[in-house]
Amino acid sequence: MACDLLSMFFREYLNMNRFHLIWLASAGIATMGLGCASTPLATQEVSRANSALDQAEANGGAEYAALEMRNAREKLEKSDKLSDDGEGVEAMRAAEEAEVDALLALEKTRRAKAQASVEELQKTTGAMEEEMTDDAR
Amino acid sequence: MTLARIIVPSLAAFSLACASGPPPIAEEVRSDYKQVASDPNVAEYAAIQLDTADKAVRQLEGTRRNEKEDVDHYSYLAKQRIEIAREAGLAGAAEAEIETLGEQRNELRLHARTVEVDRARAQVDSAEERARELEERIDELNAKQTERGLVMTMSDVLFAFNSAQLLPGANRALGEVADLLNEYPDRRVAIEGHTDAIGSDSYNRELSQQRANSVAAFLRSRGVDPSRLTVEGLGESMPVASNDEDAGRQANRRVEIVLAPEARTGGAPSVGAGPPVNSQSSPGPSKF
Repeated sequence: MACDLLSMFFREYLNMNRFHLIWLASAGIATMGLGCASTPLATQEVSRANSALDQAEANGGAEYAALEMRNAREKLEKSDKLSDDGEGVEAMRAAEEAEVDALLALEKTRRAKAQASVEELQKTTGAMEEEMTDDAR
Repeated sequence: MTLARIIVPSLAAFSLACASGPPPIAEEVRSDYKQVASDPNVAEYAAIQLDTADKAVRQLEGTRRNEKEDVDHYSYLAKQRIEIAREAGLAGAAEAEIETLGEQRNELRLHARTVEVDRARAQVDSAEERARELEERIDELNAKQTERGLVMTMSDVLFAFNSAQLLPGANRALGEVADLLNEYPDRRVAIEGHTDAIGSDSYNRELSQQRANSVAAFLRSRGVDPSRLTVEGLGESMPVASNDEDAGRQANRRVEIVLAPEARTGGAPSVGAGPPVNSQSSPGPSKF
């Protein structure tokens, strides 16, 4: 609970100006001193990245966006390792980057599949039209 | 000393100003964003993704340039968000086209089906027409459906007395038979000559064979494939009526043309399973 609170503070920290930062940093140190010795965990970022990655995987991302899928996976692993090493901020960054990589994989997959369907449909309707003009002759 | 007093604070002020400005990369990323935002597909199909990208670019623009790791991180996020918007725009446009093409295909299918139905109807009409014509002709030819197939009986009035020579009057009747046979090119045709019991058996056989040959020759001349034809002179061996009276003897003097009921080599008949059965089953007097 205390850890969650702390990681929430850290997340906020990324968007704060320097003035607030000092205040927050002291609050953070104080909290840490109160018994939660670990650095913030990028739990929320990691789970968002994981769900985007799962979705991309389920949609066939491996086939249509292999590079983005690999990037996302590598960054998630990196995030895990950084978390273990106590590099909370770095871990969070890696998780955020993993999330956008996975989301990009998802959109690329969606685009590639839609375009493939378009080509397929163009072929069939083209063939049908040709057949009909042949028949009309 | 005085110089240092001036230079040091101004350098510090300069570096502070520098450090607090937006990172130079932000300008480049913003221009990428603008390019994607100007794509009508993105505006139409990826408004949400574009908005998220805009926020990511602003985040980058709000990052101090001397925070190198933040700059790298936020510029990466912004660039990926811009790509996401671009891809979503393309995906949306393709999905819209799928819908249009799907409708188009359905219309084409419907049209093709209509054409097909019309054609099938026309085919049925023409098949019915043919069947009707055939029935009429079978009536005319006085044909009978039997186990052996469709039997058409040519009376001896087609031939000169005691001769195998066809008379001119035979042309029309045999011509119709030839047309009918030509409509079933896959079926065998047996041509059998018969006589009455007057005269010697061998003479009758010979005459019936020659008459059957004449009929076969005529049919060949009207385009009936010779390989379909078997010709036989049966003489007086298979009477259909009594040889004791004139009418019976006349009925016995005949050439029968038998169209086999089934195709000879598995070739499908052109219409139905065979020619329609003639309702008129009694032999009756020959027209010929």
